[in-house]
Amino acid sequence: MNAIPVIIYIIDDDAEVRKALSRLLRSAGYTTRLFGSAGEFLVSGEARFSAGCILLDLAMPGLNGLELQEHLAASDCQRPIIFLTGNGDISKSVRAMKAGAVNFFTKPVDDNELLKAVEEALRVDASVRASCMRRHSASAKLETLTPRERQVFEKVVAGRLNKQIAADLGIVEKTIKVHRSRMMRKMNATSVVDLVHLASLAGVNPNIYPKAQA
Amino acid sequence: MPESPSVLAALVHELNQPLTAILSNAQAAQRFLASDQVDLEELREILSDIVTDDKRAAVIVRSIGAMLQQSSDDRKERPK
Repeated sequence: MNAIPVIIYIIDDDAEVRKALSRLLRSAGYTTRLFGSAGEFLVSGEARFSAGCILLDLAMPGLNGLELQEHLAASDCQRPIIFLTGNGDISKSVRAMKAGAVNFFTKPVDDNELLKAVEEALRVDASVRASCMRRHSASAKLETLTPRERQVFEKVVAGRLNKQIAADLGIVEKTIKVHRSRMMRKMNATSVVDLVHLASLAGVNPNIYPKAQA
Repeated sequence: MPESPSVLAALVHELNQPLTAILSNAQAAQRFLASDQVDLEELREILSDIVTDDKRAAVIVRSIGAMLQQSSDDRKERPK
């Protein structure tokens, strides 16, 4: 995980501001990438597969900061955002924070405050990426199952016993056991609890089967 | 001049950009100077950018001053 370089993305339409913020972050040892517009940043698609955070100007021509934030939120596993704004627009800052921004500063911003916010954003990013990776890995394991194993997986997660699953699927219990052990191996799970956890990570709803009638 | 207040607001907003650049450049320079290896070329560039941004700010301040002067002249010409 440490092999991924940490990059601070600076998006501001003012070239001098970009350059100055970049120097400040470099003076603290960070690597930066600069973008003159939200569109330029989106097209690059860079932040998707890296670690880091985004320093985003709120008021930009074209796609503004809040619109970019919305756009990024729609896709999975995005980098945390620190907003910078020219004027202390309270309603916009509230909107940005509610939409998941980690911080919001009025320009000009003091170095200590900004660097502290960047540190915090990087901590948020690390945990976001870790949970993102767990979800992706669970989904990837699920993809390796055959249709039959997948059926067995869903039944087990829903709390059905081998005998019940055999009846549900109309096959003998012995075959169910074979599918089940293959499925457990592929999912790298040792217990039903593991399996339920993987199911929830992969976004599989465990309550797809109604409970047996009393 | 009905657009004057919004133009003024835009100019004040615009003033924030050079101020932001100047502050971050100066603080970056302080941090670079505190490190073991000082890159003089980088420091020269920083100082040159601070000068440019200061002048840019001065131009904006002058526009704001001129605008304020004009609106006060307008008020004098049209007494109630």
